[in-house]
Amino acid sequence: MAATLGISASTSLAASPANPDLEVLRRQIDALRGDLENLQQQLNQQRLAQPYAGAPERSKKAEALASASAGAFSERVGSGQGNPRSTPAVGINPSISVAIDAVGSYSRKQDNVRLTPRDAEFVFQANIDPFARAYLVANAGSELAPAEKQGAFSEVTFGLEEAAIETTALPFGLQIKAGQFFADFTRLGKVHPHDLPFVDHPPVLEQLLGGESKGRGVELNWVPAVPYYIKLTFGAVDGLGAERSVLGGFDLNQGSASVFEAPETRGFGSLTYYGRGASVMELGESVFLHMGANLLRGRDEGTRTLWGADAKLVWRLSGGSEAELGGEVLSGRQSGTLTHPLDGSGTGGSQGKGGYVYVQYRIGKTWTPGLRFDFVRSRTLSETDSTGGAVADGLEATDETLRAVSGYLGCQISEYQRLRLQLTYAASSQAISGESKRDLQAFLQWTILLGSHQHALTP
Amino acid sequence: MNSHSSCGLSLRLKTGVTALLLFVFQMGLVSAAPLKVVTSVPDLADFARRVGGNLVEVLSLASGKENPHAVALKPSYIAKIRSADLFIQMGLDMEHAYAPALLAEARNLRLQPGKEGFLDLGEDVQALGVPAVLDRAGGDVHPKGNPHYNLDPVQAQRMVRAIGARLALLRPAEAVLFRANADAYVREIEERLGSWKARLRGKGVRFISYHPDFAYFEERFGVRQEGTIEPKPGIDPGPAHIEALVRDMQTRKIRLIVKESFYSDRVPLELARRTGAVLVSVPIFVGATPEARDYLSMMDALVSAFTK
Repeated sequence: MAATLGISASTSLAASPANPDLEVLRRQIDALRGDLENLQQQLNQQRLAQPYAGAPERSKKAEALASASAGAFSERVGSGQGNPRSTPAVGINPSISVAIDAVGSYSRKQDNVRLTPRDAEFVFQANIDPFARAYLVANAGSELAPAEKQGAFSEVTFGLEEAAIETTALPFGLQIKAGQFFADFTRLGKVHPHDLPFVDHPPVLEQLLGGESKGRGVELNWVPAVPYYIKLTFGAVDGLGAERSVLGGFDLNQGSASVFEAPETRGFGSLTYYGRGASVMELGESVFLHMGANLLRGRDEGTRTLWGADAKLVWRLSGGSEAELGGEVLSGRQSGTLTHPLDGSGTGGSQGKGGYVYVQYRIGKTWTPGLRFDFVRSRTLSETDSTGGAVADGLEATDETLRAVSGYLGCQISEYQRLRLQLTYAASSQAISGESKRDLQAFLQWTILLGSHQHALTP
Repeated sequence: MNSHSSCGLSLRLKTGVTALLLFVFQMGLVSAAPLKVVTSVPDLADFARRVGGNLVEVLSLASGKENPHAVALKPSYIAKIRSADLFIQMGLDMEHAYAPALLAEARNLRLQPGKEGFLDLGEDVQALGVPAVLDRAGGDVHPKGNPHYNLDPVQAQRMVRAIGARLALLRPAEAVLFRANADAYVREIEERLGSWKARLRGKGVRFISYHPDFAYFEERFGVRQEGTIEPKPGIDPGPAHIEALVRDMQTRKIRLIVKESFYSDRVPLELARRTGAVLVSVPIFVGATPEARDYLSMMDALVSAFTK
């Protein structure tokens, strides 16, 4: 309305500037325009002060504070106070968010309580330009090891979890990622601890991969333009997973494992190469079957080969409830030069295999009870010391099996806060020595998110 | 003779070539694939279907039956977005929980923000309820303001026009048709708007809802929301809040509880039982209830609920 009046008035005045009647009209219209602008300003301030909140009541003090705050802000903007060049810069700063994952644990066997920030994750991410984005995940935390004694504040370490650049504008559905990142290998290896369906990484991933599929290198993935979702990934990294090898020890047997030696120099042939294919089938309107297959070969620590497959069946029910049945199997071999923390070195090989199956049911948006079953077998194939033939002291063959069952109950307090209780019964046995160990472990996890915390979509 | 014959042959050849070119051109037009449109919510899908007719194929990510802030995604959506020509969203952060990640994973370069294939209808809305202070202690606040502007038919008319203009941009050969369809739908909404206003005029309707979904509806129709069942957006009510709400409703004589169809009946039923207020379950998106078949019938159902 004001705009229409303004246009017609200026047009006619330009035609006859000397007409006194029109001059009077022009003044009246200018006065009306001023009134309209004042009204518009008042309306905007009222809208700024009106909260988008569902509180049935709002105190007069709160209203006054909000109004004053909005008014003061408007005045600052209107008068150009402050550094005008700082405002756009704020808009293009990286988004910052934090996830804090505090876990208290208890091991009945060791009568050991640990209270620890398992993970405090700081995420910075932004587009670099129209062609790429970058993200950085720094974290402070400690290992989830219920059977180990913890000194106060002594075992929290700060480190770089991910720092990667990824393209956003390659054609044909291609994407390249480079830097340090969680490689797209296995279903849960690339999931940050606070995003797992349960408190801990399944033992098979801990044992064969070190828990997380962290790697440094380059990854290429492709989402082809086909009527169903399929994703193919290929990567080359300087080692994948934590420092563990296939022979890494269980929590129940800390300190008894041998490790493979890494080469002093590294050519292309001794990098780790991996691939994954993943797809999802929709079995009706509300049932989805996720499938994946993984293969890895590398010479980062000895010669390592890993292969596995995973699946997840999701059934969405009414009222936001959802049932989920998932599982993964992983198998691997490793061979090379072994060293033992206490007793010399030798050559040998090892193999490990195992898997997990879990079932959980989210009731509405709050409660999620679930069960998980784990199985891992890890054994050395042969070991000889460097003088030839004889088995070195401390490098004796091992054949260890772990079975565990976990029950958990999650409570989603809000979108940004969750509590989870988990009880795990684990039993390990040594086939050669006949030794067996059992433990009952309890975990209480409290996870919160600050800011807009999002990781990439991983169907 | 020879010359005449060659001239005739040449003429026939030219005519044949021209006819062939016209045929190929027409075939090209006839066989031009429909524009593939993906929308975040079904109201936008309804608008796109009405404007695009059989020249568009439309998919809505949300069905309308779920909470629009927590849309359950299907993996096939990635493939659909991958081959789409246009993505339309409400904006104002209504889809922030899923749309950015979905678009990133689909890797359709035409649908990235800023491109012709990405239409954010929230960009031109003068949003209501923009929070003066951004703090999650206030619940699940929307920094850019209340995104439920689809319940204002005047905003719906603006959205229809914007969709018509964008479809015309993507397929200029059909621009006239798209604009005509948009104008026709805008007129239909205008005709209904008069009757909706008449039905609510002078009623002085005061109500509580589950979530603050009706800010724009209030402004347009003069009804008044006196509170929400959620103590703060996205936070479920506890016993203390329910007690306070019962007292408030009784003191201020609030006789209507409007429950968005996807929320649980439990607390609204308890409130209705204890205060004697009328409880109505309403659609706030197309497809939310059986009677909300399209935008006009959804608004019909909504206005009817407020007159009970």
